[in-house]
Amino acid sequence: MKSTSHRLLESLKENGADFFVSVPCKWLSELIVLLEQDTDVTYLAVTREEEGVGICAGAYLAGKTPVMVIQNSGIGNSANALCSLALYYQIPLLMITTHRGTHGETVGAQVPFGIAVTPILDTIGVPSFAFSQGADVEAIGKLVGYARTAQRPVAALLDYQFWQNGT
Amino acid sequence: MRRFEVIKAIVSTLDDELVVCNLGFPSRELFSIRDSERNFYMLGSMGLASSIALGLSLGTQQTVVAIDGDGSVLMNLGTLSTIANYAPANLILVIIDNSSYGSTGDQPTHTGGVTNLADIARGAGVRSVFHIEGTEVEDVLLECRQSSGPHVIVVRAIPGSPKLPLIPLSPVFIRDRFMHAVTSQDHTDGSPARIKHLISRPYAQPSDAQHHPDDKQHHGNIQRQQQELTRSLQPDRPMDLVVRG
Repeated sequence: MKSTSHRLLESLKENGADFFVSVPCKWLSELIVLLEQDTDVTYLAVTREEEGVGICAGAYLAGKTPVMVIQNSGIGNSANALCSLALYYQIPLLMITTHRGTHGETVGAQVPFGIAVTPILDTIGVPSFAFSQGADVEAIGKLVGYARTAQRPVAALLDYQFWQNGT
Repeated sequence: MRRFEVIKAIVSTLDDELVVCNLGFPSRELFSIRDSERNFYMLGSMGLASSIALGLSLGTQQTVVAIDGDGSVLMNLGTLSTIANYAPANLILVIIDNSSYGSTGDQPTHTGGVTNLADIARGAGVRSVFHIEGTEVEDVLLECRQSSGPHVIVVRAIPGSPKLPLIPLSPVFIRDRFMHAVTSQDHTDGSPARIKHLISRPYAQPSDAQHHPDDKQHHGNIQRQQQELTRSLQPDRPMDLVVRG
Protein backbone atom coordinates (compact mmCIF):
# COMPACT_ATOMS: atom_id res chain seq x y z
CA MET A 1 0.00 0.00 0.00
CA LYS A 2 1.22 3.48 -0.87
CA SER A 3 2.04 5.75 2.03
CA THR A 4 -0.10 8.74 3.02
CA SER A 5 2.62 11.13 1.80
CA HIS A 6 2.77 9.36 -1.56
CA ARG A 7 -1.01 9.42 -2.03
CA LEU A 8 -1.18 13.05 -0.90
CA LEU A 9 1.36 14.13 -3.52
CA GLU A 10 -0.46 12.14 -6.22
CA SER A 11 -3.74 13.78 -5.27
CA LEU A 12 -2.25 17.30 -5.36
CA LYS A 13 -0.72 16.65 -8.80
CA GLU A 14 -3.96 15.16 -10.15
CA ASN A 15 -5.63 18.41 -9.17
CA GLY A 16 -3.14 20.50 -11.12
CA ALA A 17 -0.42 21.40 -8.61
CA ASP A 18 2.85 21.73 -10.51
CA PHE A 19 5.03 24.01 -8.37
CA PHE A 20 6.04 23.16 -4.80
CA VAL A 21 8.13 24.84 -2.14
CA SER A 22 8.87 23.46 1.31
CA VAL A 23 10.28 24.28 4.70
CA PRO A 24 10.95 21.12 6.70
CA CYS A 25 9.00 19.52 9.52
CA LYS A 26 9.76 16.09 10.97
CA TRP A 27 6.31 14.94 9.83
CA LEU A 28 7.10 16.05 6.27
CA SER A 29 10.29 13.98 5.91
CA GLU A 30 8.83 11.49 3.45
CA LEU A 31 6.83 14.05 1.44
CA ILE A 32 9.92 16.22 0.98
CA VAL A 33 11.98 13.26 -0.26
CA LEU A 34 9.19 12.47 -2.74
CA LEU A 35 9.17 16.08 -3.93
CA GLU A 36 12.95 16.09 -4.36
CA GLN A 37 12.67 13.00 -6.57
CA ASP A 38 9.61 14.11 -8.55
CA THR A 39 10.46 15.08 -12.11
CA ASP A 40 6.92 16.19 -13.05
CA VAL A 41 6.88 19.28 -10.85
CA THR A 42 9.09 22.26 -10.02
CA TYR A 43 10.29 21.94 -6.44
CA LEU A 44 12.33 24.30 -4.27
CA ALA A 45 13.50 24.01 -0.69
CA VAL A 46 13.16 27.56 0.65
CA THR A 47 14.67 29.18 3.71
CA ARG A 48 11.55 30.62 5.31
CA GLU A 49 7.81 30.43 4.69
CA GLU A 50 7.50 34.17 4.02
CA GLU A 51 9.99 33.75 1.19
CA GLY A 52 7.92 30.78 0.03
CA VAL A 53 4.80 32.95 -0.27
CA GLY A 54 6.75 35.37 -2.49
CA ILE A 55 8.18 32.60 -4.68
CA CYS A 56 4.77 30.95 -5.04
CA ALA A 57 3.15 34.28 -5.93
CA GLY A 58 5.76 34.80 -8.66
CA ALA A 59 5.21 31.27 -9.97
CA TYR A 60 1.45 31.91 -10.06
CA LEU A 61 2.02 35.09 -12.08
CA ALA A 62 3.84 32.89 -14.61
CA GLY A 63 0.90 30.50 -14.84
CA LYS A 64 1.97 27.86 -12.35
CA THR A 65 -0.23 26.27 -9.68
CA PRO A 66 1.79 26.56 -6.47
CA VAL A 67 1.61 24.56 -3.25
CA MET A 68 3.58 25.36 -0.10
CA VAL A 69 4.51 22.43 2.19
CA ILE A 70 5.26 23.69 5.70
CA GLN A 71 4.92 23.30 9.43
CA ASN A 72 2.18 25.37 11.08
CA SER A 73 4.83 27.59 12.71
CA GLY A 74 5.45 28.87 9.18
CA ILE A 75 2.03 30.51 9.15
CA GLY A 76 3.39 32.80 11.86
CA ASN A 77 6.52 33.48 9.81
CA SER A 78 4.49 34.50 6.78
CA ALA A 79 1.38 36.25 8.13
CA ASN A 80 2.21 39.64 6.61
CA ALA A 81 3.07 38.16 3.22
CA LEU A 82 -0.18 36.19 3.27
CA CYS A 83 -2.09 39.42 3.96
CA SER A 84 -0.32 42.09 1.89
CA LEU A 85 0.67 39.86 -1.04
CA ALA A 86 -1.44 36.70 -1.39
CA LEU A 87 -4.72 38.08 -0.03
CA TYR A 88 -4.31 41.62 -1.37
CA TYR A 89 -3.51 40.50 -4.92
CA GLN A 90 -5.88 37.50 -4.68
CA ILE A 91 -3.20 34.88 -5.31
CA PRO A 92 -4.38 31.25 -4.99
CA LEU A 93 -1.96 29.28 -2.80
CA LEU A 94 -2.60 25.97 -1.08
CA MET A 95 -0.55 25.48 2.08
CA ILE A 96 -0.12 21.84 3.15
CA THR A 97 0.56 22.41 6.81
CA THR A 98 1.47 19.99 9.57
CA HIS A 99 -0.55 20.84 12.65
CA ARG A 100 2.03 20.49 15.37
CA GLY A 101 1.26 21.18 18.99
CA THR A 102 -1.96 19.17 19.04
CA HIS A 103 -2.62 15.67 20.39
CA GLY A 104 0.35 13.37 19.95
CA GLU A 105 2.82 16.25 20.25
CA THR A 106 5.99 15.59 22.23
CA VAL A 107 7.71 18.98 21.80
CA GLY A 108 6.39 21.55 24.26
CA ALA A 109 7.44 24.58 22.24
CA GLN A 110 5.06 23.51 19.45
CA VAL A 111 1.98 23.77 21.66
CA PRO A 112 1.44 27.58 21.88
CA PHE A 113 1.38 28.14 18.13
CA GLY A 114 -0.45 24.86 17.58
CA ILE A 115 -3.26 26.38 19.62
CA ALA A 116 -2.95 29.81 17.96
CA VAL A 117 -2.72 28.87 14.28
CA THR A 118 -6.40 28.33 13.50
CA PRO A 119 -7.64 31.57 15.14
CA ILE A 120 -4.83 33.48 13.37
CA LEU A 121 -5.85 32.06 9.97
CA ASP A 122 -9.49 32.91 10.74
CA THR A 123 -8.52 36.45 11.75
CA ILE A 124 -6.55 37.22 8.58
CA GLY A 125 -9.16 35.63 6.31
CA VAL A 126 -7.32 32.51 5.16
CA PRO A 127 -9.76 29.56 4.99
CA SER A 128 -8.40 26.53 6.85
CA PHE A 129 -9.53 22.93 6.84
CA ALA A 130 -8.47 20.27 9.37
CA PHE A 131 -7.85 16.66 8.36
CA SER A 132 -7.07 13.61 10.50
CA GLN A 133 -7.42 10.60 8.22
CA GLY A 134 -5.17 9.25 5.48
CA ALA A 135 -8.34 8.73 3.43
CA ASP A 136 -8.72 12.53 3.35
CA VAL A 137 -6.03 12.89 0.66
CA GLU A 138 -8.70 13.12 -2.05
CA ALA A 139 -10.43 16.03 -0.31
CA ILE A 140 -7.11 17.75 0.37
CA GLY A 141 -6.18 17.53 -3.32
CA LYS A 142 -9.43 19.26 -4.23
CA LEU A 143 -8.32 22.29 -2.20
CA VAL A 144 -5.98 23.12 -5.12
CA GLY A 145 -9.10 23.96 -7.10
CA TYR A 146 -10.75 25.62 -4.14
CA ALA A 147 -7.83 28.04 -3.74
CA ARG A 148 -8.23 28.95 -7.42
CA THR A 149 -11.97 29.44 -6.99
CA ALA A 150 -11.58 31.46 -3.81
CA GLN A 151 -8.64 33.43 -5.29
CA ARG A 152 -6.78 33.38 -2.02
CA PRO A 153 -4.40 31.32 0.10
CA VAL A 154 -5.96 28.26 1.73
CA ALA A 155 -4.51 26.10 4.52
CA ALA A 156 -4.93 22.34 5.05
CA LEU A 157 -4.01 21.55 8.66
CA LEU A 158 -2.91 17.91 8.94
CA ASP A 159 -2.62 16.62 12.49
CA TYR A 160 -0.61 13.85 14.14
CA GLN A 161 -3.25 11.24 13.40
CA PHE A 162 -3.23 12.06 9.67
CA TRP A 163 0.46 11.27 9.34
CA GLN A 164 0.09 7.96 11.26
CA ASN A 165 -2.32 6.43 8.74
CA GLY A 166 -0.87 4.22 6.05
CA THR A 167 2.75 5.20 6.60
CA MET B 1 22.73 59.28 -8.16
CA ARG B 2 19.44 58.90 -6.38
CA ARG B 3 17.25 55.84 -6.79
CA PHE B 4 15.02 57.71 -9.25
CA GLU B 5 17.92 58.28 -11.65
CA VAL B 6 19.08 54.66 -11.26
CA ILE B 7 15.59 53.36 -12.12
CA LYS B 8 15.55 55.72 -15.12
CA ALA B 9 18.83 54.20 -16.29
CA ILE B 10 17.48 50.67 -15.77
CA VAL B 11 14.31 51.43 -17.74
CA SER B 12 16.28 53.00 -20.59
CA THR B 13 18.22 49.74 -20.93
CA LEU B 14 15.24 47.40 -20.82
CA ASP B 15 13.57 46.01 -23.89
CA ASP B 16 10.64 43.70 -23.10
CA GLU B 17 11.85 42.17 -19.83
CA LEU B 18 9.43 41.45 -17.01
CA VAL B 19 10.02 43.76 -14.04
CA VAL B 20 9.17 43.09 -10.39
CA CYS B 21 9.52 46.31 -8.40
CA ASN B 22 9.92 46.81 -4.67
CA LEU B 23 7.12 48.53 -2.77
CA GLY B 24 6.85 52.19 -1.86
CA PHE B 25 8.83 54.88 -3.66
CA PRO B 26 10.64 52.51 -6.05
CA SER B 27 7.31 51.39 -7.54
CA ARG B 28 5.95 54.94 -7.61
CA GLU B 29 9.11 56.08 -9.39
CA LEU B 30 8.97 53.25 -11.93
CA PHE B 31 5.27 53.97 -12.57
CA SER B 32 6.02 57.65 -13.18
CA ILE B 33 9.02 56.93 -15.44
CA ARG B 34 7.36 54.25 -17.57
CA ASP B 35 4.22 52.34 -16.74
CA SER B 36 3.96 49.03 -18.54
CA GLU B 37 1.84 45.89 -18.43
CA ARG B 38 5.18 44.13 -17.94
CA ASN B 39 5.75 45.86 -14.58
CA PHE B 40 4.61 44.13 -11.40
CA TYR B 41 4.30 46.82 -8.74
CA MET B 42 4.50 45.60 -5.15
CA LEU B 43 2.14 47.40 -2.80
CA GLY B 44 3.02 45.46 0.36
CA SER B 45 5.03 42.43 1.58
CA MET B 46 8.33 44.24 2.04
CA GLY B 47 11.33 42.04 1.35
CA LEU B 48 9.75 39.80 -1.24
CA ALA B 49 10.59 41.46 -4.59
CA SER B 50 13.56 39.12 -5.06
CA SER B 51 11.47 36.07 -4.12
CA ILE B 52 8.55 36.98 -6.40
CA ALA B 53 11.05 37.48 -9.23
CA LEU B 54 12.64 34.10 -8.45
CA GLY B 55 9.28 32.28 -8.63
CA LEU B 56 8.40 34.13 -11.82
CA SER B 57 11.73 33.35 -13.47
CA LEU B 58 11.22 29.62 -12.81
CA GLY B 59 7.85 29.67 -14.56
CA THR B 60 8.78 31.53 -17.74
CA GLN B 61 11.59 31.64 -20.30
CA GLN B 62 11.43 35.44 -20.38
CA THR B 63 14.06 37.55 -18.64
CA VAL B 64 12.98 38.81 -15.23
CA VAL B 65 14.47 41.93 -13.67
CA ALA B 66 13.83 42.62 -9.98
CA ILE B 67 14.29 46.20 -8.78
CA ASP B 68 14.97 45.83 -5.08
CA GLY B 69 16.48 47.85 -2.24
CA ASP B 70 18.99 47.36 0.56
CA GLY B 71 16.44 47.47 3.39
CA SER B 72 14.21 45.02 1.59
CA VAL B 73 17.00 42.56 0.80
CA LEU B 74 18.26 42.72 4.40
CA MET B 75 14.78 41.61 5.44
CA ASN B 76 14.94 38.47 3.28
CA LEU B 77 18.61 37.47 2.97
CA GLY B 78 17.78 33.76 2.84
CA THR B 79 16.34 34.12 -0.64
CA LEU B 80 19.81 35.00 -2.00
CA SER B 81 20.82 31.43 -1.12
CA THR B 82 17.68 30.06 -2.77
CA ILE B 83 18.44 32.10 -5.91
CA ALA B 84 22.05 30.86 -5.92
CA ASN B 85 21.11 27.20 -5.47
CA TYR B 86 18.32 27.01 -8.08
CA ALA B 87 20.15 29.51 -10.29
CA PRO B 88 17.59 30.56 -12.91
CA ALA B 89 19.56 31.82 -15.92
CA ASN B 90 16.87 34.41 -16.75
CA LEU B 91 16.94 36.32 -13.43
CA ILE B 92 18.63 39.69 -12.84
CA LEU B 93 18.34 41.12 -9.32
CA VAL B 94 19.20 44.82 -9.13
CA ILE B 95 19.63 46.06 -5.57
CA ILE B 96 19.63 49.84 -5.37
CA ASP B 97 21.63 50.41 -2.20
CA ASN B 98 21.08 53.89 -0.79
CA SER B 99 21.79 52.70 2.78
CA SER B 100 18.39 53.88 3.88
CA TYR B 101 14.78 52.81 4.32
CA GLY B 102 13.65 55.23 1.62
CA SER B 103 9.90 54.81 1.88
CA THR B 104 9.68 55.31 5.64
CA GLY B 105 11.75 58.46 6.13
CA ASP B 106 15.29 57.52 5.13
CA GLN B 107 16.26 55.83 8.36
CA PRO B 108 19.77 54.33 7.96
CA THR B 109 20.27 50.64 7.13
CA HIS B 110 23.29 48.52 8.03
CA THR B 111 24.74 48.82 4.53
CA GLY B 112 25.81 52.30 5.62
CA GLY B 113 27.82 50.56 8.35
CA VAL B 114 29.98 47.49 7.89
CA THR B 115 27.57 45.35 5.83
CA ASN B 116 28.25 44.66 2.14
CA LEU B 117 25.36 43.17 0.13
CA ALA B 118 27.58 42.18 -2.81
CA ASP B 119 29.74 40.13 -0.44
CA ILE B 120 26.62 38.57 1.06
CA ALA B 121 25.34 37.62 -2.42
CA ARG B 122 28.73 36.06 -3.24
CA GLY B 123 28.70 34.23 0.09
CA ALA B 124 25.23 32.94 -0.71
CA GLY B 125 26.74 31.36 -3.80
CA VAL B 126 25.72 33.76 -6.57
CA ARG B 127 28.52 33.63 -9.15
CA SER B 128 27.74 36.77 -11.12
CA VAL B 129 27.77 39.71 -8.72
CA PHE B 130 28.45 43.35 -9.59
CA HIS B 131 29.01 46.20 -7.15
CA ILE B 132 28.75 49.39 -9.18
CA GLU B 133 27.97 53.09 -9.30
CA GLY B 134 24.78 54.42 -10.84
CA THR B 135 26.64 55.62 -13.91
CA GLU B 136 27.58 52.01 -14.75
CA VAL B 137 24.04 50.61 -14.63
CA GLU B 138 23.34 50.71 -18.36
CA ASP B 139 26.57 48.97 -19.39
CA VAL B 140 26.36 46.28 -16.71
CA LEU B 141 22.68 45.59 -17.34
CA LEU B 142 23.33 45.20 -21.07
CA GLU B 143 26.14 42.77 -20.29
CA CYS B 144 23.90 40.77 -17.93
CA ARG B 145 21.09 40.57 -20.46
CA GLN B 146 23.48 38.90 -22.90
CA SER B 147 24.81 36.26 -20.50
CA SER B 148 23.38 33.51 -18.33
CA GLY B 149 22.34 34.48 -14.81
CA PRO B 150 21.35 34.67 -12.16
CA HIS B 151 23.00 38.06 -11.84
CA VAL B 152 23.00 40.27 -8.76
CA ILE B 153 23.83 43.95 -9.35
CA VAL B 154 24.32 46.11 -6.27
CA VAL B 155 24.12 49.77 -7.28
CA ARG B 156 25.41 52.44 -4.90
CA ALA B 157 23.00 55.36 -4.61
CA ILE B 158 22.29 58.31 -2.36
CA PRO B 159 19.06 58.62 -0.34
CA GLY B 160 16.11 60.76 -1.36
CA SER B 161 13.03 60.50 -3.53
CA PRO B 162 10.98 62.96 -5.57
CA LYS B 163 7.45 63.59 -4.28
CA LEU B 164 5.18 61.25 -6.18
CA PRO B 165 1.57 60.16 -5.66
CA LEU B 166 0.44 56.61 -4.86
CA ILE B 167 0.05 54.30 -7.84
CA PRO B 168 -3.59 54.57 -8.97
CA LEU B 169 -3.91 50.87 -9.80
CA SER B 170 -5.64 48.19 -7.76
CA PRO B 171 -3.66 45.05 -6.84
CA VAL B 172 -5.97 42.82 -8.85
CA PHE B 173 -5.61 45.06 -11.90
CA ILE B 174 -1.82 44.94 -11.56
CA ARG B 175 -2.00 41.15 -11.24
CA ASP B 176 -4.32 40.55 -14.20
CA ARG B 177 -2.54 42.96 -16.52
CA PHE B 178 0.86 41.49 -15.65
CA MET B 179 -0.30 37.86 -15.98
CA HIS B 180 -1.78 38.63 -19.35
CA ALA B 181 1.52 40.17 -20.46
CA VAL B 182 3.49 37.13 -19.22
CA THR B 183 1.20 34.48 -20.67
CA SER B 184 0.61 36.19 -24.02
CA GLN B 185 4.38 36.52 -24.54
CA ASP B 186 4.87 32.88 -23.53
CA HIS B 187 2.04 32.09 -25.96
CA THR B 188 4.01 33.85 -28.69
CA ASP B 189 7.04 31.82 -27.68
CA GLY B 190 4.99 28.72 -28.40
CA SER B 191 4.96 27.07 -25.00
CA PRO B 192 1.98 24.66 -24.99
CA ALA B 193 1.75 24.77 -21.20
CA ARG B 194 1.38 28.56 -21.25
CA ILE B 195 -1.26 28.45 -23.96
CA LYS B 196 -3.34 26.10 -21.82
CA HIS B 197 -2.99 28.38 -18.81
CA LEU B 198 -4.02 31.42 -20.82
CA ILE B 199 -7.18 29.71 -22.00
CA SER B 200 -8.07 28.43 -18.55
CA ARG B 201 -7.87 31.88 -16.95
CA PRO B 202 -11.02 33.87 -17.61
CA TYR B 203 -9.91 36.58 -15.18
CA ALA B 204 -6.77 37.44 -17.19
CA GLN B 205 -8.76 39.70 -19.45
CA PRO B 206 -6.98 41.20 -22.46
CA SER B 207 -9.46 44.10 -22.39
CA ASP B 208 -8.05 45.24 -19.04
CA ALA B 209 -4.61 45.64 -20.55
CA GLN B 210 -5.70 47.77 -23.47
CA HIS B 211 -6.70 50.83 -21.47
CA HIS B 212 -4.19 53.58 -21.04
CA PRO B 213 -3.90 55.08 -17.53
CA ASP B 214 -5.23 58.37 -18.92
CA ASP B 215 -8.32 56.72 -20.27
CA LYS B 216 -11.46 57.67 -18.32
CA GLN B 217 -12.92 54.23 -18.78
CA HIS B 218 -9.73 52.76 -17.39
CA HIS B 219 -10.05 54.86 -14.25
CA GLY B 220 -13.67 53.74 -14.00
CA ASN B 221 -12.50 50.14 -14.17
CA ILE B 222 -9.91 50.76 -11.49
CA GLN B 223 -12.48 52.39 -9.24
CA ARG B 224 -14.90 49.53 -9.75
CA GLN B 225 -12.17 47.00 -9.04
CA GLN B 226 -11.14 48.83 -5.92
CA GLN B 227 -14.75 49.03 -4.71
CA GLU B 228 -15.18 45.35 -5.46
CA LEU B 229 -11.99 44.55 -3.58
CA THR B 230 -12.97 46.70 -0.61
CA ARG B 231 -16.29 44.89 -0.43
CA SER B 232 -14.63 41.50 -0.74
CA LEU B 233 -12.27 42.25 2.12
CA GLN B 234 -15.10 42.94 4.57
CA PRO B 235 -14.82 40.06 7.04
CA ASP B 236 -18.59 39.67 7.36
CA ARG B 237 -19.13 39.08 3.66
CA PRO B 238 -19.73 35.53 2.47
CA MET B 239 -16.96 33.90 0.46
CA ASP B 240 -18.86 33.89 -2.81
CA LEU B 241 -18.37 37.65 -3.16
CA VAL B 242 -14.64 37.06 -3.33
CA VAL B 243 -14.94 34.56 -6.15
CA ARG B 244 -14.19 36.07 -9.51
CA GLY B 245 -15.92 34.91 -12.69
